[in-house]
Amino acid sequence: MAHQVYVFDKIKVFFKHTDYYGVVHPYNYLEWMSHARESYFQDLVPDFHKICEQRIKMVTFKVDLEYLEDARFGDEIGIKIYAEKVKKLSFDVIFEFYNSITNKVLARGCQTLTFLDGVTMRPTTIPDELKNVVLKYEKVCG
Amino acid sequence: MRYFAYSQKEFVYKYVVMLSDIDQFKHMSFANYLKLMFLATDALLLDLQQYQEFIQSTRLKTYYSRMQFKNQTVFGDNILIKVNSSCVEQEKFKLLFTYVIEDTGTLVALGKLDMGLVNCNSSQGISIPSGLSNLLRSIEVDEANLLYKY
Repeated sequence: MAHQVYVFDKIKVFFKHTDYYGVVHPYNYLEWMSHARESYFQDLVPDFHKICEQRIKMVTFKVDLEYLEDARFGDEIGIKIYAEKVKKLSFDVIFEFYNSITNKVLARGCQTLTFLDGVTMRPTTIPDELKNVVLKYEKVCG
Repeated sequence: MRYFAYSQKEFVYKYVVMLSDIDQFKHMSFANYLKLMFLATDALLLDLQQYQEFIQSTRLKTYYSRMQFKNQTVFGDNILIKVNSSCVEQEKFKLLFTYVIEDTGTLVALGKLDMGLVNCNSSQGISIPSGLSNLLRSIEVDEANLLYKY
């Protein structure tokens, strides 16, 4: 069965996103990843903010990003989001940045999220409310 | 048996975690660590002589970035970001970032940037000038022999 893809397409490039050379500074992609991830969870996971305030804490363990093409002022950028490697204690969120007008892929990123018990600080399982959603968006590799 | 002796020279950038850096969970938001990686890179390049001339003709292009988070920081923490280079080639190099809390030595994060130089107008790769090469060589390490995997 094909996995679902969440699309975050609310990004417009402003001057504050550009660098000395008029291209989008790479840091912005990393910040947009954090915005898109929160939007993904807020839109799809019921009472996401309550889950975040419970004992189990979601922790970003690793962030990878490959920069493929430059974006410039006025460009509109979308991000396709899905999950990979959904395990008991962690999963990866995959981000594909594309130019909304040309459809050219601009960057590809991955965040590995893990879960800790906020009291013992030991790794713990992914909360069911979150995992149920993420599994629908999982791309099973191989 | 081979023995290694490293001088462990590094460029160090210091940052104090401010209230504007932390979120409602009282920790610095992860995106801010990523921003610090680029700030530390800019600070490193400011050591270059003729920096203004350099940036007018040459663009530092980021091809890949990675960050692993080990511990969180809170308001008031002094973070030392130690910067080393590796794989310094003709047109490309890597920067390695080790974030530690100054007071306790606690490892906070490990970062990595794959970078190269391109001509501002043509976007074609160009050779690293001697000034930058010397700067990078002065903080170069062999990733294979480091304690951490970046």
